[in-house]
Amino acid sequence: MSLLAAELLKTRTRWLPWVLFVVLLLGAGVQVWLFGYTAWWDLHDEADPELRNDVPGATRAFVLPWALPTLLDAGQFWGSIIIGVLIASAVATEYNWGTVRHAIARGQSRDGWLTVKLTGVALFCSALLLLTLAWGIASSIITSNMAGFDVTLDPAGSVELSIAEIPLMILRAGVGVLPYALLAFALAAIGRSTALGATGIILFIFIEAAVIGIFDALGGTFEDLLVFSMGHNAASLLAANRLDSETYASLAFRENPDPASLPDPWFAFVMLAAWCVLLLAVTYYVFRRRDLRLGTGE
Amino acid sequence: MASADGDIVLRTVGLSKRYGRRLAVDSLDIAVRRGHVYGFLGPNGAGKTTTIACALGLIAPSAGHVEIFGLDTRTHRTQAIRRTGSTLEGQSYFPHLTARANLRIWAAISRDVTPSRIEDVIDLVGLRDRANDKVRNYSLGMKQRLSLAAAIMHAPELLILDEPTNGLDPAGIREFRDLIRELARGGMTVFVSSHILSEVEQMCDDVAILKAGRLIHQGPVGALTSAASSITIRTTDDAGALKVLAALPWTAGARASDGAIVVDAPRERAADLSRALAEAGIWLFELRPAESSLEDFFLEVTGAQA
Repeated sequence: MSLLAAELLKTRTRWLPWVLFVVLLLGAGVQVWLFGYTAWWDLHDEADPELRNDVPGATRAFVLPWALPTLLDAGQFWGSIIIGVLIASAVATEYNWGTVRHAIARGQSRDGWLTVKLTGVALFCSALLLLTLAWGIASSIITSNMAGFDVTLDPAGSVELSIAEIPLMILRAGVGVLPYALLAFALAAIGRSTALGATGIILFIFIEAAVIGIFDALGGTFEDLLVFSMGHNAASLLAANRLDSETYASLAFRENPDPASLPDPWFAFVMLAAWCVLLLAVTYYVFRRRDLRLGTGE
Repeated sequence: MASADGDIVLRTVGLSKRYGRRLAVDSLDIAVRRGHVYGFLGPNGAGKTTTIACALGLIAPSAGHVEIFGLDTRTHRTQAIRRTGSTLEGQSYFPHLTARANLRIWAAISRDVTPSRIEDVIDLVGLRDRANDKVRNYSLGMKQRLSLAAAIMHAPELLILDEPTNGLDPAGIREFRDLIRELARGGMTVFVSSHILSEVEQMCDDVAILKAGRLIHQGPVGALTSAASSITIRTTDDAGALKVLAALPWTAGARASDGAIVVDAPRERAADLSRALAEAGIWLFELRPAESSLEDFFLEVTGAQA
């Protein structure tokens, strides 16, 4: 058995990842079925013009091709939280089990341990996120049929989405998840606590979303500072996924990303990559120098 | 840096570890000889686990260093540790997996461990019937056996065991002791920390005694116990005997006790003792060598209360 296979065995045989996977599936279900199809069903034959204003937003939450960027938007936000919790647990639990110490005492290098752990969990999480996306797309196809919409990527007279663009859109959303996942990894590896990693990433994401909203409203220097934030740059990548400027109903705890008020996607990519490098550097640096003692959660 | 003495498998050189203001290990110099079972003895908090953690690279020494197979672990940790097996104090297993799955995971790190070798060690530690049970359902003793299986499955030359019999019942302790002796007979060097004195006395060739991070004594177990031995005698003239004994250069002392005289002298001097008293016209009607146990010696040198 390879080290990577061993890592995957450790992860997939725990119950927590599967509970979190169910939460992801439920989230995608809520996005498509509740925010999309059900909302559309309630509004589509509404006489009140004010209420009918919400129909396009509901439609974009479940009808392809708009449902894809909408799912990726919600998936990036909630996926960051869920994956953050999963990673924090996968790392910190090994401290509590004493298996970190045992692995190092068997001759595995500290860098090696972190790298295998990160690679294994990243592969596992990627699979969960892709399966969730597949479930979301399947839900979209089902609900579109139920509502009588064509299932197509290029609706006549409207936007057009090619198959080749889809991997790029998924990649953009994935890059938006990465720094949060690595933040959870760093918190758990440095703090040696699942609670710290999981709570830390949840608080960070919600507080960051609130701070971005406040700084955006304040404008001036505050708004300029947002260029360094993870959320602002992740939103830029998600804005690049948008097919048009119409609003859409999303589970993400933030405004629909507006390309006009966000950094260039390439700049955002570089900023997020810088965050990733910084978080990895701090994690490896601390873990290399850490005493792995008994009685300290290790 | 290579050791000049190829017979030494594990050596600490001026090893110290400080946690804040507390010095957990203080300038420790020990040497473990190839093929020996080495007992590392000390009361709780003496620094045993810290020393082991330094040796395995889990914590960084504040001063000094550790050599394993002559390799300085500061620079050649991986090479040295790959030839070493260890069990650590506290749990170190994946509770949601079976024993067999645990061993497969540890085998992935150790490399060169075949599936048949995993089955062999499962048999060796007596876990065959429960190998497919989740480890969370194991008793403490079974978990200790699993730890030992993980430690020996890559056939290490040096086995480091930290309090390995914690949680074992008397039968389990005996089995474990026999297993360790068997491994040593096969050429494995064993370094075992313990606070169970009788266990060390029966299992080990050499012993180091640690107190408050400092090495109090190091040497063969037999030498320690015989050095602390005494001879109890009953004579026809105790007062005269005490005078004669006081003049003998090879006695460390003699005192009256419960109608007898306890002479602090090695048992090998029993014949000399008998002759010296006979030459003074004092006759023995009882002579009983009383070897001190390692426990006596341990309590004496550590100043601990029995």
